[in-house]
Amino acid sequence: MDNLKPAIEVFDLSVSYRETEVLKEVTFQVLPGEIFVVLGESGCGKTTLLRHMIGLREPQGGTVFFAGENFYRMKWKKREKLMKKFGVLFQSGALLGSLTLGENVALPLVENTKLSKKMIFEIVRLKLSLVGLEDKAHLYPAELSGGMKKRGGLARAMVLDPQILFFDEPSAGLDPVTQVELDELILNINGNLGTTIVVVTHELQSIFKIAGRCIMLDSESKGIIAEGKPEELRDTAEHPRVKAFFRREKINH
Amino acid sequence: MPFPIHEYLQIEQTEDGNVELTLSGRLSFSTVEPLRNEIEKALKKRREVKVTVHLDQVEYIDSAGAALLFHIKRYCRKRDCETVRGRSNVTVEEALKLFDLEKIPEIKLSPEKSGNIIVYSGKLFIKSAQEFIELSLFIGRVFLALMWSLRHPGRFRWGEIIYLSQRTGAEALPIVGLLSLLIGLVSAFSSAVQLRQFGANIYIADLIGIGMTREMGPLITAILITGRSGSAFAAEIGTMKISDEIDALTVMGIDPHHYLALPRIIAVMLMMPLLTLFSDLFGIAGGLFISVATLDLTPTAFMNQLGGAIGLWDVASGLLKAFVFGILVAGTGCFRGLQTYGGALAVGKSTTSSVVSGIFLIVAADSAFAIVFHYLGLM
Repeated sequence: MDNLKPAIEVFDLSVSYRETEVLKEVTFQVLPGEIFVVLGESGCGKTTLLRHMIGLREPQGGTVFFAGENFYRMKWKKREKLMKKFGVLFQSGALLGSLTLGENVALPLVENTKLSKKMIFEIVRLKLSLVGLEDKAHLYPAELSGGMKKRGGLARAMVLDPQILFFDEPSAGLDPVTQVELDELILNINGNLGTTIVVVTHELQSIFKIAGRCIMLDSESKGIIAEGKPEELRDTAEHPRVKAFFRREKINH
Repeated sequence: MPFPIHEYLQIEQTEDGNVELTLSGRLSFSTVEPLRNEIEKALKKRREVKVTVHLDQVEYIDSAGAALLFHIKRYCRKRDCETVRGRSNVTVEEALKLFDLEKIPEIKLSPEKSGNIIVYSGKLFIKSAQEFIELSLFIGRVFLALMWSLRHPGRFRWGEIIYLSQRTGAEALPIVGLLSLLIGLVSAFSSAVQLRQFGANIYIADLIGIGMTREMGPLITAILITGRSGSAFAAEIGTMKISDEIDALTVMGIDPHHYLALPRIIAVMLMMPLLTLFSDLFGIAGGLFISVATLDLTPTAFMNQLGGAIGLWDVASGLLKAFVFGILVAGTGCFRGLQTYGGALAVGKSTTSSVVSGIFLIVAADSAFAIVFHYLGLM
């Protein structure tokens, strides 16, 4: 994998909300085709990092490179084009309430491609069947359960065959069985479509199951305290917080 | 540049009438559409034949490509043709592994709509009846909350009332003042032309004075507050409702009618008469300005005439109306907010209907006041 150019390169990223510093000079790389997990305790800036990686908020310092190109220095048009190659699954699915599930999934196709209604219909059907929601296409998000909304959001995020998929806490609020199914789905998408996947989570079981590599953020140092394969981190980590996280222990001060 | 269809698609007919499709190159979002057209055209006239699809020359296939294959299959089934997967390669097999083309059932994109007029009017009737019940419940609950608060004045949210009074009253002053001044100006200006023809210049004071205090003042204020505060209540409470905050209040043993609706209704009820007083004042000031500027009246003459024209009852009846309008406006806002169910769309709907039904109620109540005052001899 050494000869591969990184798909995403986060360089010296610093973020603060008003006076509070959240992330300080964070640097890491995501390789193409890997499943990369960002983990850490609640409130350590995982979601903040994700929001900056997908270009929703400009960082105070540092930048993000996609395939070697500086995201925050490129022209807006180019940035928009690049963003179409991302798929993002937000924490609660973020389906538009005024559209049915099927229309939600069809939305990127209707807006961004010139496909006919027939083909859009077929693609929506394929994607919905992938997440097991083909019989719910005519329902509005308000009529769906939390897990269904999340899976629907995933179908929408995948509909344009993105090169990079971002997941914000995919397993939060799901029952264990659905969680496992979602993990399988993530592995499947990664394996069969070769999609690069970035997952923000603190679900230990998921991490061990899906993560190729992971970084752990920490709210005290406001940066990365561990990087590597999850099994390695569990077995060899020295840092007390990393140890506590992977072995589900209390931190002894 | 026309799409080079032959680089992607070869259609051959075998001797026994069957069809062989050979797809090649990249099957992606940008290429599937012309391919679909061509294939449909080729299969249109054929029935009950075997269609073999060869995929061994495909270099790349994405979801759109998979959708195309799936579409071919369905299109054939509709024409009683049988489809067979012919030669294939690793790329295709890998990509199609995710989808089980056999198993994917039919889907509906949008809910079915029933177009029957009887069904429709029936639904409308049920909806109106439900709404009437909900409204009665809302009024009852707010009234109970009020009674409870009167017995437990210590538990009442006085701070909230002061805050809401500032938000709905004091902060609305500039816009109420400006709008009333402009309406005073406009109505004085348009009547000045008529009055001058009869040499009745001085009666402009009566016209503006009575018009503003009895009707225009309360109406302008109420309509403004509907748009400004009633809608805000509906949106705020509606958003709380869809994000489960109202349910959270309820299970904590806090009645949302007492906690949210009552302070809002009381604040607006108290602020409306005060705002109306300001509206009267600014409206009359507008009239005064036009009288002096275009009708050659002196300010003193205008004020003297005004003093004779309007009595205490004219102002008081306006304030009484404003008080009632305030209850209607805030009540409608809170009611629509609590009725909200669903998502962002529902919040928009409640906000709209809070303004629409608020303004309707104001005008209806105004007419009722006119009739009642007339029969009581108070006009």
